Order: sequence, then C-alpha cells, then structure tokens
Amino acid sequence: MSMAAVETKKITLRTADNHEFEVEEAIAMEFSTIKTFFDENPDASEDTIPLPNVTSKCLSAIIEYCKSHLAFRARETSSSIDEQVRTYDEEFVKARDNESLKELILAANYLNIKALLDMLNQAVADRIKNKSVEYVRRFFGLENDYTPEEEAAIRAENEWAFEGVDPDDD
Amino acid sequence: MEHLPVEVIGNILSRLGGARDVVIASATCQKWRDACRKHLHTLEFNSGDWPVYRDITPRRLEILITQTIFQTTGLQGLSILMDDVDEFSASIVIAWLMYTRETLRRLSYNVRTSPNVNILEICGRQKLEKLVLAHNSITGVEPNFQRFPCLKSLSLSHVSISALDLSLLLTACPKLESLELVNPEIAMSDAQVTVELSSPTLKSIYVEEISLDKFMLEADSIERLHLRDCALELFELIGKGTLKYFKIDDVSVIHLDIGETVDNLEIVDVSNFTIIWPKFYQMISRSSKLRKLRLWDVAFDDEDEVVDLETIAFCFPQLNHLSLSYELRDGVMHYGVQGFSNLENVRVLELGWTVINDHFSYWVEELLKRCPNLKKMIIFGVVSEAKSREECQILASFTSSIVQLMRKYMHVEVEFEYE
Repeated sequence: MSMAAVETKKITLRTADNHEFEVEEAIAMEFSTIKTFFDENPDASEDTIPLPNVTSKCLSAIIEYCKSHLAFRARETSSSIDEQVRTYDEEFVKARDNESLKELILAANYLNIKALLDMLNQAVADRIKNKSVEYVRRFFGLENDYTPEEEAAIRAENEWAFEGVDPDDD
Repeated sequence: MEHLPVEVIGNILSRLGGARDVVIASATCQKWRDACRKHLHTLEFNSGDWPVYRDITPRRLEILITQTIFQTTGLQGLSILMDDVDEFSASIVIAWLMYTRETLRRLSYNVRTSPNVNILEICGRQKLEKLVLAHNSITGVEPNFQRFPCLKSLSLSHVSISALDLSLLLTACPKLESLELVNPEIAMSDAQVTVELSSPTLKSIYVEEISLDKFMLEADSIERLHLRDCALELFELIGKGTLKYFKIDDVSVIHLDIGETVDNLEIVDVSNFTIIWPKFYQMISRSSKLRKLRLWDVAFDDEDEVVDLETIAFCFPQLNHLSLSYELRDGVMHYGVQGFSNLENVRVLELGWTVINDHFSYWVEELLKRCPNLKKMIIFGVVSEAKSREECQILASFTSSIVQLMRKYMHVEVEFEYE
C-alpha cells in the first residue's frame, strides 16, 4: 500500500449482460444488498459480485445516481442543496421512458437502495395520477386477469371512482 | 418481463395516495388489487386532489370512505381533508378510526363530527406518530389514562380546547417534537387568558392567530420558534439556549423574552413588527453564530432608532444573509451606514422599499460597499396600481441608477421582485 495516497477500495460487479463495473466501495455500500453481503462475508471483497437481475444500462444509471447523491450529502445541508437534489432527481427521471423507469425500479429493489427506490416509486406514481384503468395497465404492461363479471363488480362497487377521469392522451 | 413485487406496487400505490387513483389501480388486475388490500400503507381523501369530491354528498362520502378503508389492511397513514363538508357523523368516523388504529401512524382529519369525536380516547396508546386535526374539540385530557407514546408531530387548527387541556395534552405526548397551533379556540376559566406549555422534547413550535394575555413555553430542546399574526401581552420562552430559528410575523407583543442564552441562534426573521431597538438588540446581540437576519416591514418604536451596520458587523461576524426593509428616514439613515467595518461573509442581500426615493438608492450603494463578498442582491419593491407619471419617472431613474451602480459590481447577481 503506497504511503503517498490512500487508494480507494474498488468493488467489481458483473451485470446480467456480462459487463463488469468497477465501483468505489463507498458507492457499492449504498446498495444494501451488497453491504449486507459484505457484512456477512468480509473476506469476499476481492471477488466479483454477480448481479444477474441488473442490466449494464441500469447499473450505470444507478451508479451515477449514487455518486451524485453521495456528493450532495458530503456538502453542508442547506435549502439550496435540497433544491439541487430535487432538480437532479427530476432530471434523472424526466428523460426516461416508462419502460426504463420500471427496469430501474426492479434494479433498485433488487439492490435494495431505499432512497432511489422511494424516489422512483414517487416518480412513477406521479405519472399514473388521474389516469384511467387502461392507461395504468398499458404503463405497467399488465394483463387484465379479471373475468368480465369480476371487473363489472369492482366498477359497480366503487362507482364513484370511475367518473370523470383524464382522457388518455396516448 | 419480470413483474414488480407486490410490496413495491404497494409502495407506488401509497405514494399515489389519493383514494380514487388507488381504486382505479386496483381494478387493473388481481395482483394490483392484492397490493391494495394488503400492502397499501397510505390512503388519502383530500378535496384538494380531486374536485369531484365536492359534488358528492356527505352521506355518500361517508359510505365510499368506509368502503375504501375497509378494503385495506394495515393502513399506516390516513388523511381525510374535505374542506367543503360541514360534518360527518361521529359513529362513522369512530368506525374508521377503530378499524385502523392498531397500525395507524399518521392521521389527518379536518371535518367537524357530530357529536364531537374524542380522538384521544380512540387513538391513544397506539402507534400514532403524526396527528393533524382541524375543526374539532379536545376535552377532558387525562394524561394518566390516555397517552400518545409515539406522537412526534401535532397540528391543531381551529380546534376548541381549554388552556389546561392543551397543557395536559403536551404532557400526554412524551416524545413530541413538533407542535403547530393555528387559531385555537382557547376556553378560559377566569378573566386572564394564559397558556403555559411544557415539553422537554419539543424542537419546533408554530403558533398562528392566537390572542392571549400570557403565553409561556418551557422547552429545553427547542430549536425553532415561529409566531404569526398573534396578539400577546407576554411571551416567554424558558429553555437552555438551544433556539436556532426565531421568526415573528405580524405579531404584537408587549413583553417578549426568548431567554438569556441565545448563543445558538442562526436565523432571526422579524416582519411586520414594531421594534424597540435597545430591547431587541439586547435580545440578540450575543448571537454570534447568526447566519441570517431579516428585518422586513418593521418600524422602530423610537423614530431616531436605526439598524446600523457597525453593530451588525460587530455582533454577527458569520452573517451570510441580510434582508432589510424599513422606512429610511433622513439623517437617521446616514447614521446607519456610518463606519468602516465590512460584512465579510454576507453572500445574499435583500433590500426592500415601500416608498421609492433617493434615500433608497443611496442606501443600496452604501450596503454594497460594505459587503465585499456579496454574490447576490435582490431588490424588492412595491409598485402602486395607479402609477402616476411622477411615479413612473422615479421608477425609471431608480432603474438607471441601479444599472449604473451594478456596473461596479459585475460579480453580483441582481434580481428584482415587484408587487
């Protein structure tokens, strides 16, 4: 180990599509799944961790997110920092389509990154506010597995909720 | 395509919050209905979210709220904020609370109930952490029998409660950190209207629209104190000098005491207030950690008093943000900008006028000189609706003078806010 500079420990992660990512330990520790793994297996830090449920596209976005948030947290708390965090989160989500948001949610859930997961869940909730049943189904790629009778019963029971929905614009 | 786990769906639905959207989502497929039934932790019926609620009769609202709540299990957050509903019947509201109380952590409720529902009796001793209550009464508080062991945040708005019950209520909340009192109806037994509150855990208090003779607060952990639109003869804070944030807005108080030790004050924000400068100075002069000072639309009790920059520079070396708006009177204003000490750390300056004149431009210039590390300046102005030709000319020449002035301070960002 060199005396001149402290080398930051790097962890290697392998994604589902066989890409290897080297990340700083601090960032890897943001993934609770990985943190727990290392807490239980302290000797495994040199090994490559396989992430069969995460694509490289997702992982690189997640790494960016964690890096940025770690940097925000390192700075002194203030209302302007809070606003910068908000703006960053908004930008992070804005450009992504529904499909990539879903992938990110699945990845954040698998890696157990609470803050990211909460933020993404909120972003998705905002996208399905005031929408119709059909819109929500399309958004999440859901199959309607109700029988026609079941569906009619649900609509009748909660009649009030099905009035006056935003017209679907796509 | 891998499907979302049902807990994640529950999380998304909880963030959706609004009951109507949750019901719609549950109609998409069985898994989502399951998520609503078992993994929904927050449900809201807020008239602000969905205008159609206003067209539904209270009776029908009672039914649909009951139906929807009873389709869930393990609800942690329930919000029923219906601004246009006169009242809900007590037995129905009690049913909602009884159904959810084992797991409920957050409750917001603002509809009158007839007859009055004793929230304490129904929610006490459970998991409640946050309670927002409006338009209801609280009576007969008995801390020995009814406690909110987990309550951290309490907000009472247009609530009828006696001074004694309010005081007892605080002792029934051993973990309370945040208290908000808006326009309470405080019933008093004798002529003098006095409120005495004590909470060793309270960190933040906000009081709005209260009119009392005496308000005494004993709070050893208090960090934030905000009074708004209050008329008090005496306000006394007894604590251990932990206060960091102090804000008063449109308050009339004859005797104000926030304690001897003010070492930790970081923000002082006074607006629409008449300042007795010697008293005020004595109150905050030892707050050497002060980062933000705002004196906005204030008047000075003594016409010859003024806020002078020397005092500010001397007392508050760490001042980062300075906001001043008051009437600048001849002679007195010049006294205020005398001296040579700079406000080294001020990064943001907010200056406001109510009447625009040459004094103001001069004052802005003097302040700029004294803030060598300024990054941003915001000028606040009041522009009258009927703009006379003379007013327009004054505004125009003011604009020119500012443009000229700012050429000397190119590194300072300038913004204008007019109302």
